[in-house]
Amino acid sequence: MKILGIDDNPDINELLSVALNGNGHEFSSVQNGKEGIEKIRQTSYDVVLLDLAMPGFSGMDVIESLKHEGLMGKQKLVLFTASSITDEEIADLLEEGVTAFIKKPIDIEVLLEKIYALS
Amino acid sequence: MKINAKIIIVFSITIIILVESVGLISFQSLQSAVIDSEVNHMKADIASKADQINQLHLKASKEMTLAVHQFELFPSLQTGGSMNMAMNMDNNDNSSTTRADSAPSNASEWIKDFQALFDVPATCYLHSKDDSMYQKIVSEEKSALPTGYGDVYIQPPYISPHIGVHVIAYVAKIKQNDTGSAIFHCEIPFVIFDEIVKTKSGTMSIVDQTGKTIASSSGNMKSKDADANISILNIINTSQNGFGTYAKNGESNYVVFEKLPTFGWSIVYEKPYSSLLSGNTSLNQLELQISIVAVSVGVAGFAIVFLISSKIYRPIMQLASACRAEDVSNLRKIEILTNQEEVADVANAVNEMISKINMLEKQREEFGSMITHELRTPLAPIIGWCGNLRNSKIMGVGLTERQLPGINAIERNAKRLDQLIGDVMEIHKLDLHKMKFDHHDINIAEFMSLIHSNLQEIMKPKRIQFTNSTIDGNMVINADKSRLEQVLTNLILNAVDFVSASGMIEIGAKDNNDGSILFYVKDNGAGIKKEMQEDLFKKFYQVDTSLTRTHGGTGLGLAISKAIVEAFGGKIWFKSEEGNGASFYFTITKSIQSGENS
Repeated sequence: MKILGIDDNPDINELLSVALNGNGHEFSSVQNGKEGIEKIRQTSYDVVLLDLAMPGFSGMDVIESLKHEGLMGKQKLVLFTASSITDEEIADLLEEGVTAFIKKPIDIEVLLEKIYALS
Repeated sequence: MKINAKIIIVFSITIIILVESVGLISFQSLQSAVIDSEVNHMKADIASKADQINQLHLKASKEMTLAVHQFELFPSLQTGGSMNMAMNMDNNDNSSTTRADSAPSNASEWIKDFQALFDVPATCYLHSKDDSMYQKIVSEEKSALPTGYGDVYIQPPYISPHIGVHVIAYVAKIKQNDTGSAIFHCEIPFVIFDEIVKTKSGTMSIVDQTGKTIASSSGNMKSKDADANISILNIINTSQNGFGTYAKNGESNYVVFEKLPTFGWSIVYEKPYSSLLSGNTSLNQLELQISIVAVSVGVAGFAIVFLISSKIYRPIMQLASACRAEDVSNLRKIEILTNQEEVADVANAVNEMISKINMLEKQREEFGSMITHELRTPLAPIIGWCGNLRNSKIMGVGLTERQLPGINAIERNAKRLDQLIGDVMEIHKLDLHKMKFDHHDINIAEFMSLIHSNLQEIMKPKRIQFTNSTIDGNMVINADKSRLEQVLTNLILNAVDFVSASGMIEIGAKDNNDGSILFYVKDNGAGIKKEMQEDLFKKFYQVDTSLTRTHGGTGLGLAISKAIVEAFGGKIWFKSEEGNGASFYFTITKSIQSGENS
């Protein structure tokens, strides 16, 4: 699958790149939300992995922009969330069009399972 | 109410005492004025009585003078030589008794007419020069007898030989024909004075120089005791203003007197102190009025002080209660409606302090969430990379036997650190009352059996006998299910740590029937040492520090559980004896009102 990672931490992007590319996916990444939206406009991805907690232009801002531009349904959206996220917040985000959630810190096995389930 | 009440009560009592004493002082001066006026009344009374007596003497003397002239003018009245005649006239029946031995009828008739002039029961006699009574009077009263014809002499009291009672007498000399002089002699009994001194209140009497009672309004001359007589006599002899007091039956007796011109007699009027006042109803009313005024003023004072002080005190109380707010993270500025500048100043100062506290709390909150986030961020790639490195498919090559434990240790410790940060974040939120709860109705029996089945796996390594003794299937509470699960799981995992292999853990819930549900987790493990029991719910407190390594506990579990239970309006506690297991209990109110733990 063609996967885009949007995370401000390059170490996470590197980690995901090794894990996903090593598992036969085509993974690329950007380090901020605005670049991410630019990429989504230009390219078609199967899955976008989005970090919710980014400084400046946050994950929520990305979702708002995608909604605004009608790009939410273009790809499956998986959110990296803090473990303190509540069930209510998850329900709200699902309503918004988010496909799945992965709690940080990322467990690689869990990540691979979730991605596999989306294909 | 504290100081406020004391001030008000003291103030009111002071007012009452003040008004009462001012009232009493004026009452007392009024009282003495009343007594003065009463004494003056008494003086006026006896003055009029004394006047009556003087009038009596005056009238009698005048009549006697008239009588002497009659004798002079009508010698026929002096018929015969020596004569001794007397007429006793009783005023009531007008009957007359002739006491003269040989009285000519015309003389008797005249004396009878004459007696009537006295207005009193008088007894009159004509004694000729050679009768024994003439001799007796002349010899006894020689010096006092009037020398001129028509002059009248008032004879001091004696017991009448004619009627046998105390009398005074008016005596006048008359000239008889050629035989020389005779005496006209009229006796008046003391009863006349009893009539005169009659009075409505108190006792009026006439006493002589020796203190002997001549007449009394009480009608009983012997009623006065000897001591009283001496006291009264003493007053008469020493007092300059016709007034004095003496003690009688433990009470002051007020005495006014006036000396009469005859025989050294005095007319005496006495009244006890109490009767002087008791007769004065307006004074009694005044006394009552003073008390009423004092109490009314006191009550009014109480009300005024209460109003004023509550105006000052209430804002202070508001301030105090506002400052006592337990929830420091949510301090609101105190709004105090007062025009008391001092109180408003204090309120403003407190409000400034509240602003600073709120700012600090906000900073603490921000710092807390920032630091936990920042601490957590580097852990994500560490833990993630451990997964990558262990995955031979991703890496193309597997880890060697010597590398694997290293990666595992890195991952385990990074995860523990992550959990620790998570717990700190959680307790931080609970402390700040920022924890969000998601309350739903929970069927307790179903919930307990779910927990029971979820944790079966954990019991297996130690072969723990894990039971759920919840019976009541109808218990429902409205609470955050995942938080409730967190508390219960935490307690159960603690128990797992403490029981030995093949030990027992029992969980359960029952209705407290007071609007709350009681949950319990009991084990038969090692129990908790007494010296450690006190600190058990404190943050980062661990009974056995080695447990962190085996179970990954952070030392915050019980502190978090306690904070959650309390946020749910409940209580958490335990019973334990070292070596005899431990039982943890907590209650949750069935319906939690607030969505946040505030």
